[in-house]
Amino acid sequence: MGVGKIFMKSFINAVKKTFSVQVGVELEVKESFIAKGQQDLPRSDISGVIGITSDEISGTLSIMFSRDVFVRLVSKMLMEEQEEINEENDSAAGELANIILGQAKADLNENHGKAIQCAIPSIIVGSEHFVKSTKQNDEAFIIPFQCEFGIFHVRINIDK
Amino acid sequence: MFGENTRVLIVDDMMTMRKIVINGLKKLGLKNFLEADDGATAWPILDSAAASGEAIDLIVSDWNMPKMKGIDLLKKVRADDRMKDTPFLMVTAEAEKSAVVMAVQEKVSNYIVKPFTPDALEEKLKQVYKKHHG
Repeated sequence: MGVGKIFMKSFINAVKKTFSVQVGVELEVKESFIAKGQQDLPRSDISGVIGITSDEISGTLSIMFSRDVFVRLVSKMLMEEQEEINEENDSAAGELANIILGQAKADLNENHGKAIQCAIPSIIVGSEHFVKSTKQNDEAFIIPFQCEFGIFHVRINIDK
Repeated sequence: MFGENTRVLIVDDMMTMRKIVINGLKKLGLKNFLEADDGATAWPILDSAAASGEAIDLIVSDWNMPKMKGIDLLKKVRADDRMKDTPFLMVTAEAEKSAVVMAVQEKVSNYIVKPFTPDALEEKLKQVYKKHHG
């Protein structure tokens, strides 16, 4: 697995900007780690997943929330109090992944010569699920972000 | 600025984003909204509205959608004599300059990149109004 410094910086900056502008919360980046097995993967209740692809690479970006953190964040994003994850708000997980990829893609393509393509996000809703690759021995980079409502995680895996 | 009876079509495959845009437009006094979850479902709404004599007055569209992208919807709108001058604001996560250039070439009225604040949306709408209404 190679998630280089350039990719990491682009994605971290994209996450911070997305949450600051679209959600209205500031984030603190916590210590990242490489998840080497299922036991290392964070559990979440809702995730937004989007492909990262170009002629040279393929991978995914996932943004993963517990129910409580997601409900509070999406309440702020919509400026309407939400009480649960439902069909009216769950697409926010995909939209956040979409916006983050858009920001990172612009930086990586325009400033670092990458040619990452657009993608359509998906969402996963289910109590205590984890996001993983189908590859055996998959390693993913996990970045925890602290916000005023708690911690959520971003998972990045890129194959060169 | 656009009045409360402005007929607005919001096109985005994410319900959350449609809601964010509508909430932003409501704050500006607009009240008359239609929604579509793809360029492909937006076109029949536009076509039907134009045919009935109550054409859509403002289109706010995403770019990346599964069946018909916003840029293709824009091309279709601009190619139709009934709606070729309809104000069209692209609201999209496509942040690259090349995408903006493409949209401008296809005669988009204006373009706002996600993430955006409510104030940024308001400013873009004012620019769109000024462009089309002087």
